[in-house]
Amino acid sequence: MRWLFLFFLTVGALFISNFEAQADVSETVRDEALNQGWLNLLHYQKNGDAYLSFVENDEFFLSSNGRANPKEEFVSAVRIFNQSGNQEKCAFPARFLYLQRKGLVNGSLDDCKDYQKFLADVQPKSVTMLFTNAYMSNPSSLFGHTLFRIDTNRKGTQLLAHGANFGADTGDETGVLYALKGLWGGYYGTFGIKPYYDVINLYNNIENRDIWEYELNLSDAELELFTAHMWEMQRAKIRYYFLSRNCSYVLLLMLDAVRPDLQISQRFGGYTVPLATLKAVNEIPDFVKNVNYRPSRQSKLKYRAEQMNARQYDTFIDIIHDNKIDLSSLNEEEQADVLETAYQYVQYKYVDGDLELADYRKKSLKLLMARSKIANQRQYFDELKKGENPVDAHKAKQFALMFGNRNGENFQEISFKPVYNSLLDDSYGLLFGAEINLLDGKLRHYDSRDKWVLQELNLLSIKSLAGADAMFAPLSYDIKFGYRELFDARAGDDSGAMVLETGVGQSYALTKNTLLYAMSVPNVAYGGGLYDNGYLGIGFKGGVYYNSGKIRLNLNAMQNFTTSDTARGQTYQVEGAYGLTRDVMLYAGYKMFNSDYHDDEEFGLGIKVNF
Amino acid sequence: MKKNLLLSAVFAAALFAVSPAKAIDSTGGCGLGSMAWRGQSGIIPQVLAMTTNGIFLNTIGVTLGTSGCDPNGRVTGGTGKLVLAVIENNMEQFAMDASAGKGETIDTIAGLLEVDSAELGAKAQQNFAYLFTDENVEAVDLTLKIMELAQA
Repeated sequence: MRWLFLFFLTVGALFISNFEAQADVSETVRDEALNQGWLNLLHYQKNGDAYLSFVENDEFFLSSNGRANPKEEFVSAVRIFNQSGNQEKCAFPARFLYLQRKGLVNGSLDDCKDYQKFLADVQPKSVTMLFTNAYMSNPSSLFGHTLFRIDTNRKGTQLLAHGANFGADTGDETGVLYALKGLWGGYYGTFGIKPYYDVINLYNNIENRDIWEYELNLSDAELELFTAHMWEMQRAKIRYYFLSRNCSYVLLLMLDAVRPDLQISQRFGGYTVPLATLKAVNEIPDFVKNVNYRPSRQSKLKYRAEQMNARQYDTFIDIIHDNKIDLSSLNEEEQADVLETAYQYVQYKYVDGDLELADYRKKSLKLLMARSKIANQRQYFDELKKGENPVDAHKAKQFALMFGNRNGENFQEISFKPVYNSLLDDSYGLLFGAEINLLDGKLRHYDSRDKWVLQELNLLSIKSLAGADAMFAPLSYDIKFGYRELFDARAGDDSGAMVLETGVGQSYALTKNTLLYAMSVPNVAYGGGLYDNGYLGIGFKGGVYYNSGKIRLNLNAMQNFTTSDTARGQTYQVEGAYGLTRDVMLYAGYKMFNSDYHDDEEFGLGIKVNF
Repeated sequence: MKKNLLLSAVFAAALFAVSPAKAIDSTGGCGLGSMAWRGQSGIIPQVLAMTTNGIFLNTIGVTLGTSGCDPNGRVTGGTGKLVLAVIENNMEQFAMDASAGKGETIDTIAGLLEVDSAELGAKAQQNFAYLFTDENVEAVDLTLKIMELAQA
């Protein structure tokens, strides 16, 4: 296949050079070549008067200067696609269709065997954008993920559709090298295609992430172009930047290619967060025509357990904890639901690595055998159908103003964070108990000192409070790293320091909205102005977190044992927020640090706005 | 161990590149998950391990060589092959749907075989013990049996 490709490329190049020598490129062709449709289809970016395609591999272009020269590429394409029996059109069916619709090339794609096979397998019906929510066990998935689905016309269901994912091809590299390369474009990304049932298995069943499906309102002509373009894009190599030109950005490039006047990718490119791109797509008038929620296995299990009556729940717990199946207290409908839920729980445990294969199989079959004897087709409980649409989640950037008092001194504080979500935000549509903030900073002005100080600049702050219950026992963690004005208990004053805290522990779900948590928090600080220049410490922290949507509360206490007197002591903290809207909240906080030397106490009131 | 991996992954990677991106399977592997009943012990834990440390091993989609799966990562082939692909790659869901007499996998297979989904579901449920004779059931046998039931 590859040599065939190269062969045609060589032949094509010969024709082009021959052609260009005598070409008399008309004005019309020149205009057409710089038409947004053509530019988008080859992913050219304009920089001054120059053009350059995001796609870097030569195989993606028909002319030798194709990557930097849209006109030359256009002329070559028209020329080559008009040659009878040419096979280049089969490698670039979207370009062919585009030019055909302009009346510039003749022929059809009917004689493209591989491409026709692709169409026969995929049987495109429409295009759906997929969003999977955050996965706190993988740093590269903290912000969620977007991909496409080419919906199928096959009879039955969309299980037989195809997911199309843009992912970096990172090989086996690990750790820091991987991270740095990813950040600076050291990897190439390509589109990969696989059956939708595999997509479901990966996200819903293995990683326990909800999938949201947004069916796009594309015309037949746009759908045809999309499918053809996906065919060519499977071989396109685009430099992958984790923070900017990532999976979700390239998805927008695809949309721009099939509907050039969208120009939606133009709005991104700095820092691209999947959820922000999803919101942008949903804001295009009449562009999303259907939304469907596909809850993860964990979401389904939680929902089903919540819906059970007390007898059912007891029976269910007996089955999953003691392997005791006694259904005598339940009617048939109740039994069916308990058996199905218990079966799904067994699947969950197996994937989680907590069950041996033999045991897993035996338990699974036993539960299903019992279930199959209950003829009743009606399900006692509806499956979880409606979720909280992430599109309606709060906005990602936040600006805040606070007025407060610290140890008798009044202060004003301005803070800003570019992304993404904190525990005191409305959790609607987002993972409960998760906090992901990068590069958030605080400037503070003390009346008595009459100058502004950089109070805090965090590189990152990531928390995951995941509530354990009778079914799940996830780990909770809390990582924070950055610069801050640190109170030195010995000196009784602030001093600039770099501080790293890494808490690990467990949370317990008291109710659906309330978590109790306990963590051990190893911490370290370094700052030239600190007594002893810094310290190593271990803190023990306990707290309560509550988020009902409108009202959010986080209170905790921590005892810190440190190598230096600087930070040894107890910290008590209460923070609360009341949402006026999903993006505007009133905030109040109180913090007290208690040590053998000096104490530190502050409180503040303020307003935070997401935008 | 798992905790350490998780933490070092979270920390190291987050520090340098907290990334909205996730590379799944750019090479078109197939047959993830749902294969425990095919007698390949450890596939899911293996996949899970890779997923958990996905930031380090971004080739989650290992080609597992499932018989119903196309090397291009596509749903392909004739009716029988497609039914096999659905059953083989969705075994755990199919087993539950068969026992309940309905569900997405039953709808899919009924669509492929062009039979009524409710009828196929009822047949699968009534014949559950015939389909799943023991816990070592093979996807190929199941496919043959479900096709036989559909035509019965």
